[in-house]
Amino acid sequence: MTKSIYAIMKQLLITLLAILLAFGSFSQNNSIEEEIKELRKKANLLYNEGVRFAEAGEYTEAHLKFDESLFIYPEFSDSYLERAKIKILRQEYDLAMDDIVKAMEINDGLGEAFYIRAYLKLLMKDHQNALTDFTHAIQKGYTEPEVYYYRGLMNFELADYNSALIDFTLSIDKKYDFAYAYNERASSKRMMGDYHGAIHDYKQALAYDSTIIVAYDNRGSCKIKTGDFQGAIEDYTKAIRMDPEYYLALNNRGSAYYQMSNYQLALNDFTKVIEINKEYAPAYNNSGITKIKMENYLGAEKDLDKAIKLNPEYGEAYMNRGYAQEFLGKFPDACADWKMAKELGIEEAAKYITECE
Amino acid sequence: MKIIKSTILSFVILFIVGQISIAQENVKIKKADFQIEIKEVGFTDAWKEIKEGEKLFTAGMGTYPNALEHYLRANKYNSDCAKLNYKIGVCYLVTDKFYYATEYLEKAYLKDNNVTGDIYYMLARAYHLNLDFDNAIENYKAYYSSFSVKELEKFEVGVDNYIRQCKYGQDLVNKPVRVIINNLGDRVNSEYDDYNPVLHPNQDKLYFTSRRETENKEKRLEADNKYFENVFVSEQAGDLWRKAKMVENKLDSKNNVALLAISPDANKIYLYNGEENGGDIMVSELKNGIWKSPKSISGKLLSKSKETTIAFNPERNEIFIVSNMDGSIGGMDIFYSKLDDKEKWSEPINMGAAINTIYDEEGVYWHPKEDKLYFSSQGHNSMGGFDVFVIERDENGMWSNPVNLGYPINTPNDDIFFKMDETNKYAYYSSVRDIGFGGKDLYKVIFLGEEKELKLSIEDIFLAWNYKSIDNMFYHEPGEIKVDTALFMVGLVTDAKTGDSIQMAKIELIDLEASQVVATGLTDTSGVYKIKIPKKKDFGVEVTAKDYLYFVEMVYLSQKQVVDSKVQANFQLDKIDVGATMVLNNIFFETNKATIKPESTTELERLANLLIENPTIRLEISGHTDNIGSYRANQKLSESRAKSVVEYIVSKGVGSSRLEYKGYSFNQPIADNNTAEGRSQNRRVEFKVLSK
Repeated sequence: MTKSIYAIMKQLLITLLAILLAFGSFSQNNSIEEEIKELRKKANLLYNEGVRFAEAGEYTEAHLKFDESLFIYPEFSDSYLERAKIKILRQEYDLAMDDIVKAMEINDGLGEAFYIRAYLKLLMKDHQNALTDFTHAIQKGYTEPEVYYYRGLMNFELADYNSALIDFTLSIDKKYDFAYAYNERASSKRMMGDYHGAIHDYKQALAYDSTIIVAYDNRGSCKIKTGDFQGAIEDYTKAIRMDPEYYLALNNRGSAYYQMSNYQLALNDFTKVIEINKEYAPAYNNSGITKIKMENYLGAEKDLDKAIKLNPEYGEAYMNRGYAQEFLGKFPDACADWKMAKELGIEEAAKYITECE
Repeated sequence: MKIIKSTILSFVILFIVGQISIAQENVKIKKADFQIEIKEVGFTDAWKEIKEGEKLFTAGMGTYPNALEHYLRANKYNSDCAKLNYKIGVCYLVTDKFYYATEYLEKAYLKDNNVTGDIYYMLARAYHLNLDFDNAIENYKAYYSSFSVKELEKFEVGVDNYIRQCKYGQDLVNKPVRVIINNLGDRVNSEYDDYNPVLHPNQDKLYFTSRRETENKEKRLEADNKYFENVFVSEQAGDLWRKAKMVENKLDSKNNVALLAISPDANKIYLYNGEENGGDIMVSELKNGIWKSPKSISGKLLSKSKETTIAFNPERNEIFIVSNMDGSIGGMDIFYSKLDDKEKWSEPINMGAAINTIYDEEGVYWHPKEDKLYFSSQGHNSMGGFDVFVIERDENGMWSNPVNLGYPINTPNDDIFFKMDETNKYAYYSSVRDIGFGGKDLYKVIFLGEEKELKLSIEDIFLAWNYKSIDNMFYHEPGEIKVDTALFMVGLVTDAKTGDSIQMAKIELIDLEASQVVATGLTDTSGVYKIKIPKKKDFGVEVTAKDYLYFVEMVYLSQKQVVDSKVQANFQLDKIDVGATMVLNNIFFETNKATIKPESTTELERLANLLIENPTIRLEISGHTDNIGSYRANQKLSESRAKSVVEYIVSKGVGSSRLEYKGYSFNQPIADNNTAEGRSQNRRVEFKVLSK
């Protein structure tokens, strides 16, 4: 069926070219323009069909429609863009890039083309170039809320939290119930030290979409910063209930218990984290320091050994193991660990090293 | 009232100071005190235990632990016998399970507050040892006041020093030093007293003195009914110490022998011989691999008094000894002597009243590398028993004042024979602690240096995008945003006083019919905002900004002129300053009541949010009425309404200390009470910023 359509279209194109070659007059050109207009119309119909298939999630059919559309009318930039989107979904990033570039060659004023290329770069973790392309998309008039949202993500990834905050705000201005944008704006505020503002935004995110687990986890961490440990534990618990394997929330809840001096509950959580992810070094570190608080220095040393084995550049774990070894009276070992911690960038280790000397 | 005097202790032993320096009453438990009339079963066996316990108790402190076992078995028959509880408490006091003493002594007192003449004293001792200094002081005072003036004139009761110790203890416990104190374990320590650790210069052997039972079946010392002293040694094996063995008594003495010190080259040992002159220091030299017979230390150091511990400075031309020889300020004191040109020790000189006290000093020890002398004292600011002190000599040869090494190295019990390592990281000493094996035990102190912060690792997925990507961005567009046809509300948000633009102010457009926010916007750095309006109709608008009071108003967009798809609305905000007030227009109450109507929720939530987002501010919530009705009735109503608002806000998690409420009746009208509209405005709740 598809092959036969291709064959017909191909025949049509060949016929068209033959006519163009045989007759060179103005009147004949008029007729060609009409033909082109007709072909474009047909290509557009196929393009619309493709979009409908894509919106229904039938990407294979959609892809074929865009192929056919481009076969009939190879200068149809919209079809290239739509086909690029499907290729992105299929993770055929290089092929997608070819289509986007083609669309841009045909029409360099397409804001959406920049947007899609930016998104592709985002997926490829090329944050700086993605940021540039999102900005170009906006400059060319493509100002959907998602563009600001994704540019906000890039600014966040590049640690420009103020710009990220502005982008997320612009995105929320355009789409007031954009829950993810509230979450990311909250995280930007958090990174800038505005914990109360962040808590407010996490709350908004959850009001519009109560399934954003990370918003509970993140709000919990902000509450810790404001001293509301109980509120934090409740938030972490909500996140854990929604996803019992979400070990970061478990690790954070354990940390909250630790900071409340409830060491047994803290240890229970860190132990669960290790059960879920045996390779997660921070859980061994936290379990280790909790054991120090519980005066189980040998147990602590063992956990911290494991943390360092998993991550040999884990400065904090060296600091903490030094502490455990100090309690065990192993001063030379403690000093060696603090020296290592300093080499790994933990500046405060320097003053402990002076004790060794 | 029977006066209890200090027991005179034997001079033949290196160290004997019990946990109870004043001997306790040996009150006899009579059958009538103990037997329960209606409980025949078990009495015969229990009474046998009492009799056995009494025998061991009377024998002396050394057998208190054995007496305790019998008393505890008897206690199962009758746990309400005051005298038995007293004796169990006293037995516990002399063990390292002294923390059980309080329970039994309190019970003894409860059952009979005259159970013995010294019950207050024993209670005080129990509280003192358990760091309950307030109760200890109270009971020491009660004990003191139980004596008549005549009795006090005749005998020295001696609780003043204990009270002082309690006060010092309160200070020391509040400033603990950073150390770990580890028991050397049951291979070294025994259920008996073990003390006076002496580390071999090679650090591989630990000598110490013990009063444990040995195969030689020594007699017990009459003064305390404990076994005589013997020297033991334990060898180091990695991190552990091997099982301690008794060192053969080379002095062939029938009395006590203790090893006091080993010279740095390990060619001389200094011994305590309890047989000579009431206790003397002797020295034995190693010649050709053989230890020579110990001789009394030479020259003028010899006295007929008791000399116990000894220490040399690193140059070994100064010696420090503990003795009660002539010239002592009180009991055992520290004396020093210098080596003269003829290699003879000079006449010992008392180190003076700044170092020696009227109480005992003991356990003198010189730091291996520094000009520091460690010793224990019952005086100075000891928190009880012997505490360890250090003095330091400056370049001019002047000694500093003694410094208490602090809690938890020192305790209300005896902490003594402290030996600091040359690195200042470790020390060995003798102490009585609840982690012991019985009596005094040997402990290793690990000095931790300054407080170090432990590093927690907390990680978050900051971006929801990173946790779970948003569903396909391309084919789930909301679709309702049609920018081409949109209408915008634009304007400026400024400070009401200064006119400065406010950035990051949030503007929320509220559809009052649907009770929901339909659009939001933020001001840019110029204070300008732009919001897309879904429909040109009247909206409520709420404007909030950090450090500003919120602003709520109706915006009648339907009446505003549209220019270039935009309608203009500017807002001014008041800064949160002390004294700033705001009328809460949308709080409604039931008529003549303080019950808040449900439609007030939004305004109340807004107020709660203001407090939550500005966590330092304090507000006064005030109620106001019109002038209809009496002042008193209106005052009551206005106050109740203000209180209701405060209660609601507090229920939202705001600390009650941040809110005050007041009722002003009709004293503060803001409009004319002669018109219905004016009266309506006067009926209001408002807030005032008290502090920020």
